[in-house]
Amino acid sequence: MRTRRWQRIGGTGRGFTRGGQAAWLAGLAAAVALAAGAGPVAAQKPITIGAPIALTGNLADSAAHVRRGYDLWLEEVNGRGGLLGRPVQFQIYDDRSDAATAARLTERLITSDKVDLLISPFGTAGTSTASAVSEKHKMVMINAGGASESIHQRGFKYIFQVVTPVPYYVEGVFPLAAKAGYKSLVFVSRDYAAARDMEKAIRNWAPQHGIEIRMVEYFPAATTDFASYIARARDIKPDIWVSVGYPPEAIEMIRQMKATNYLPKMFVHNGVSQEDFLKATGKDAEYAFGMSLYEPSLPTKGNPEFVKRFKAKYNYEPGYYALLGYAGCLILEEAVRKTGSLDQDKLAATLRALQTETPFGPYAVNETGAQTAKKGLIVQVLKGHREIVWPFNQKTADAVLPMPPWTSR
Amino acid sequence: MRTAIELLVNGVLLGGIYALMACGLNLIFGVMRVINFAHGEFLSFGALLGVSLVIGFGVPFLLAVVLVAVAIGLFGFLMQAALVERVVDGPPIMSLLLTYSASTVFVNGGLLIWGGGYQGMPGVFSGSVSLGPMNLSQARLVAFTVAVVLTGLVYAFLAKSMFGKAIRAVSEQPEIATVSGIAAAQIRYLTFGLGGLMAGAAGVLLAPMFASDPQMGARFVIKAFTVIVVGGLGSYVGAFVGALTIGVVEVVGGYLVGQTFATALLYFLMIAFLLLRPSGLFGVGIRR
Repeated sequence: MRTRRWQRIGGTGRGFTRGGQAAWLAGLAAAVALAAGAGPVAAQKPITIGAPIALTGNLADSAAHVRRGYDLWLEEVNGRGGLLGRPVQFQIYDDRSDAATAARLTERLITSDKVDLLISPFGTAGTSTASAVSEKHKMVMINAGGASESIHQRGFKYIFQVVTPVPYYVEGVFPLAAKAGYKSLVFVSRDYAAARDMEKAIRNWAPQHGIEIRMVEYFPAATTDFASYIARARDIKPDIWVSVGYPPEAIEMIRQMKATNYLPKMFVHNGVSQEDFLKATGKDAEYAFGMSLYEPSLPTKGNPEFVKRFKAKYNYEPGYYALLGYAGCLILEEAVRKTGSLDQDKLAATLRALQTETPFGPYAVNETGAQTAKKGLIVQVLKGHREIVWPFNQKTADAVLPMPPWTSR
Repeated sequence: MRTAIELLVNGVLLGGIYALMACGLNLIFGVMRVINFAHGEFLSFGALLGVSLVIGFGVPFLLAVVLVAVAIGLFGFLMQAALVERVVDGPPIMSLLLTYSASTVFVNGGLLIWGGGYQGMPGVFSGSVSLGPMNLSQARLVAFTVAVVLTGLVYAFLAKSMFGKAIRAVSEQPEIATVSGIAAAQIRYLTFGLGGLMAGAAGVLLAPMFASDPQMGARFVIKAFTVIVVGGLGSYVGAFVGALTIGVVEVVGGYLVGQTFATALLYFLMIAFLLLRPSGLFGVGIRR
């Protein structure tokens, strides 16, 4: 009896879909009719910035900070009287951390929502696919969150990078290591485009500083157990362990290193520079090195005021993800003001020539739109805070090397 | 040699946690033929609730394991009563879709409650224990011990108690069990609760080792599925043996061929079992 009921429900499936389509089309027709009959547009028609971003999925945690950067800027820009005398608003869609969805949403933002400006999704994969769509439509896209160099090696003319390209994340490890006299390195990383870029950079810089690469290993996303890599590192005894990926991996690596009483002389992971790392590992975070792009203590233009406003609004200190969103918007704002219109070709020309500075750091791009001015920072957790230890001229503390072994802490 | 033994031990310890997760999942499948996609969320809720209790309220770790296990057990019981029971007689796709949808709702509920950040239990069993030349993780030893004791207790409960026998009866011969006067619906509530209890405990035990967040379930539940395919769908003992196998393959394989291939190896193992021995090591097979 029951089975038949299920079959009946299953059987109505096709009809339901057709009905749904019809209703949807009717709704669309009504919306078009409404829009057409709406009469003269308000004098102050807002400028809309389209932004696909990960509100759910595996990038959502990190992208939430980027979004807060957008929101803070939006308040400020409208406080300044908007852009070109018009108020500014965002049209945000959730790309579910999926690159294909990001591309589809970009198409929708351009063709259906007819947004005036675009900011890239968070992450290299989404930015790659979304920028292919914006390029097709000759729309400028600010690349706030795609750090891979590959995005800018496709001959595109409308994509401009605010975030530091991946190779520069790791640059500072080498002068620090050379100063300490270190000779060997292992690279253990999540397998994604940014990591492949970083491997190339390491292969370029390591020999220049007399450092031998003893192991290069990639692990797939969702790997949680690093016991096998720790065991191998214990055998080959590198001075330096470099990893790039997401915060949970940094948390799990440092915990598993402590749990097996292993520690290289220098452990470096970009995840160390995120607040979650400090919270989740507590005292074990001490002495770990992070690749960072931004710290609240950085002496960049307008940074102290920005940190104050951000803390007042969100009750925590901004990390670099928040800055990517905020700086991306500031660059866009400055370029639109300088251009004096929303003409995408003129805007692209402005962005290509623009040289400026935001709290994030300097901005300048080469002819491919890749960032050339903003370099990375190396930080170390000391007494529960991240201190800048490289570049040496911006340091807030001296690096403690080697990291003290677990048994003598 | 030291490395080999250390890896093997590490693999077995990791497998202990997988066992706790997979045994609950397999129990639910065994009794109801329902694949519970929300099992990963039982785990993540367990981990996050554990972090809240231990870090937020200073509850001792082992007490937190007990409290959370009971809470998630109750949660599983309610989920069965309110949702799964209503589709349990329908085609398998109904319960599959239901638990999948529930999983999505739970993930987002978790994001609302705990936020999206990664949490941990700093300082809780974070050190190592030296055993001869080996260094073993305190957290893993504790988790393994608790996991083995708990799976053992549940096994004894299934084997000896009246309720346990009723669960096995419904699992093996549902129609005969019903005509023998066993209230099958109540048994299903109990089973789901028991599955939730084990996953909740596993969650708290994982929290000192791994980063916890509302989306962590997906990272582990896939492994639990691999475990039960290898160990045998519906077999409690099979899930335990399968879990240890998967733990060892993951750690030793990762050392020998790298994690990318080791992960592939896990799924290769799963495919091989599905093709060559679909009942797994100890499976009950397909009910006809």
